[in-house]
Amino acid sequence: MAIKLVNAVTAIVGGIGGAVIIFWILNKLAESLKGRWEDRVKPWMFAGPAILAIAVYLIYPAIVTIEYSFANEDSTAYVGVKNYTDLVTDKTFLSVITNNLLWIIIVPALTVVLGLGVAVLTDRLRPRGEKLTKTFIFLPMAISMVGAATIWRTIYDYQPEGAPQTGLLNAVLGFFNRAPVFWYGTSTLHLNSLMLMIILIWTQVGFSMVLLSSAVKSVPEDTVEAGRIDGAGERRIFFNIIVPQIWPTVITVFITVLIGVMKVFDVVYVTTNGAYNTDVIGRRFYDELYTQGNNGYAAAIVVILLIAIIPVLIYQVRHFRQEEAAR
Amino acid sequence: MINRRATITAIMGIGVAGLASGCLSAGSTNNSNGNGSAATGPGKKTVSVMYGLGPDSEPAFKADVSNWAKQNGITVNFIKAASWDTEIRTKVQGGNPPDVGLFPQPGLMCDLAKQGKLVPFDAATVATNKETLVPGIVEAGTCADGKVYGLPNEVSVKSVLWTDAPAFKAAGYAAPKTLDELLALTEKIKAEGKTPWCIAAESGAATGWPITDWIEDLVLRFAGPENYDKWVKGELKFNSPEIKPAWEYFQKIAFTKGNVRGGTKSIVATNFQTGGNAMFAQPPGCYLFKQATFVANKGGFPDAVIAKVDTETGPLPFPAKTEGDNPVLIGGDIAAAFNNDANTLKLRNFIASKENGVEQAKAGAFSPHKTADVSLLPNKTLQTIASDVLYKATAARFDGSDLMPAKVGAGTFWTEPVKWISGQQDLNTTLTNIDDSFPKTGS
Repeated sequence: MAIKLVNAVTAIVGGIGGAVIIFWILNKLAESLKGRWEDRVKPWMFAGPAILAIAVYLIYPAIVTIEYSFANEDSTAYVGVKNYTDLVTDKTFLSVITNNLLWIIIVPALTVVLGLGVAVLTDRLRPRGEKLTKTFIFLPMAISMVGAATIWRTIYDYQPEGAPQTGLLNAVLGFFNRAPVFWYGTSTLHLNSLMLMIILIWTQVGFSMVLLSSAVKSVPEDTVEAGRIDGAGERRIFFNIIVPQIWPTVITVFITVLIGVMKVFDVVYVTTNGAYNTDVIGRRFYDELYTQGNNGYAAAIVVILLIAIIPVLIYQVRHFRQEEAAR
Repeated sequence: MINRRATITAIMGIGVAGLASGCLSAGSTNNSNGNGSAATGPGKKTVSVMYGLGPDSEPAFKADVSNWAKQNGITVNFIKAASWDTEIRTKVQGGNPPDVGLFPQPGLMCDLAKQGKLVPFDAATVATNKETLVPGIVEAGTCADGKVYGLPNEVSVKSVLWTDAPAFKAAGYAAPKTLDELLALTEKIKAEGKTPWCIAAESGAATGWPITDWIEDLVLRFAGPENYDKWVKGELKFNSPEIKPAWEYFQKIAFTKGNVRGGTKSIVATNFQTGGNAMFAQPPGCYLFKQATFVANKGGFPDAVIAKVDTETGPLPFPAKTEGDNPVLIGGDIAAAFNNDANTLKLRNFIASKENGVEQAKAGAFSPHKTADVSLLPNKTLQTIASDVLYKATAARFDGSDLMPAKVGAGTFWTEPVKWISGQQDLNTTLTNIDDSFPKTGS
């Protein structure tokens, strides 16, 4: 134990210290250059290591993944676009895409709406009540996805008819003398997918609430006041005065949750493992790589996900720049 | 602006360099062990063994191996994998495999053997073991190239039909000896207004595998051992006239209204470990439950039942097609070697030998060798299963889903029946989908 602690401390001190020394040396090197070259080189000395790290850990793997997506399952020979044509013609993959679209449409929107609702309503509470409410709503944020799915089992669980029901929903049904429902297996109107989404939303609302709450609080009181004097009702004030002023935060929250949802994996993996028409891209990728051992197929799925995420990223970067420019 | 352009140029430059160096690596990593039957390594002091054994079987396995290791002056490093399939793949891909691995899935073992990552058994060792092993086991560890890559540490028996002995007797039911009698018994129980079956196939991310045991036992009976082998190798389709009757029999049992506790759809929602426990309730929730022997351990049947397992449970052999001709379906962890170091092979050969398994028998595990001392097993229930079901079987076959390519055996053979049972598709679609996913031979 003591050795582990010493190791940890050494690692932290060594890591940070090492980085400081490297940057100090690089800085000295840049300073040793004369005149305008010092100014030209210096920024690169500081940005360089970061760019290098991104290149090694992000860009290189991305390129290799794209390359593998054109190769066979052991990545030993190229197969052209076969992986992609197989995927597009695979009926199950189309349902995977449909499910992912549903997640993308529903989860970020509901997260923002609920988070905003909580933010606005708690703003009206006395400070103590506000703090308490916010803490409780923020709490699920600290729970891992697997933990959350386990907790929600107390709501969704199913036992055969006649046995004591251990899930809340089925216990309620039993109270009204109705037969229990196997919720995770009910794909009518994607009910089971919706139930999984609720788990994710439950963990994300806290995050959305915290950001939006601070945005709501920073809305200048005089703008609201001016609206009141002009005779605007509460609803008018909310939609025409508050919302436009916090819109940039809304977008930020929306996109952050959106990107998270596109990669959703753990909720689905631990609850249904993609059965009963609840599969999503993230889980399918895992399945192809680790269960089926098909590198090519898995890489192709990731590339499709990458392509789908790029427009969102571009929008986010643009949005960020406009924000910067507006300041 | 200039800076930004420079950044992009730099990134693209790195990217191109990466592309140039990152060509596909040719699959020629198996240089050292092409024929590797004889040991060439120097004999390392420490040999590692990796396995996915549960907490109940791990200590006994460790005891057996440690006793042997002490006598031979070898240190054994035990590595437990929480998720075997994922971890062994990662370790092999990362170039850091253990020395010996216990594969619960021979399908994955043969996948790795094909990639040249494993060392086969030598002919002499295979011959010695074949004399005492239950017939059919050596074939289970044989991969497509005809070499034996793995032999089991211990086996579990899957062809067991569990009953609550007192309740079964009190109701006046007789043990069914044929599949027809089993159907008749099902009808009889139902006619009395009771529920005959508990069927449970929920297993978290592996939901569906208990169905494969059902189907395999039925294929073994309806199609016979020879056709079973062909089916496992992919030479007989799931949707062929030889195999389909097994599915139709299962359909008759599981899909007929009133046959299964909670109805057909509850099969995939009921846990495979505890799904039979309703059998021991008052009044019984069901009378029949098919599951491997492990279910009579902690975590399976209720503790009170396990404490008096010899009187509370009545394990029956799963009925035969024609009376007396009982094949047996088994599962088990198969030992394979990742290199041909002398001590690696020594450890692997010990695990596969009839000398292994004393401690494990005391913990309730069956040796795959007919010569094993049955009296070591901890209770009469297990002793009966060993001597009557396992060692007397006319033909033993390894769990077929474990032998099939992982894509089917740990993939569609689990997921497609789940879709079928939960009402998403019909039987024909299910069988065709599994057939379509079967990798073409020789690819």
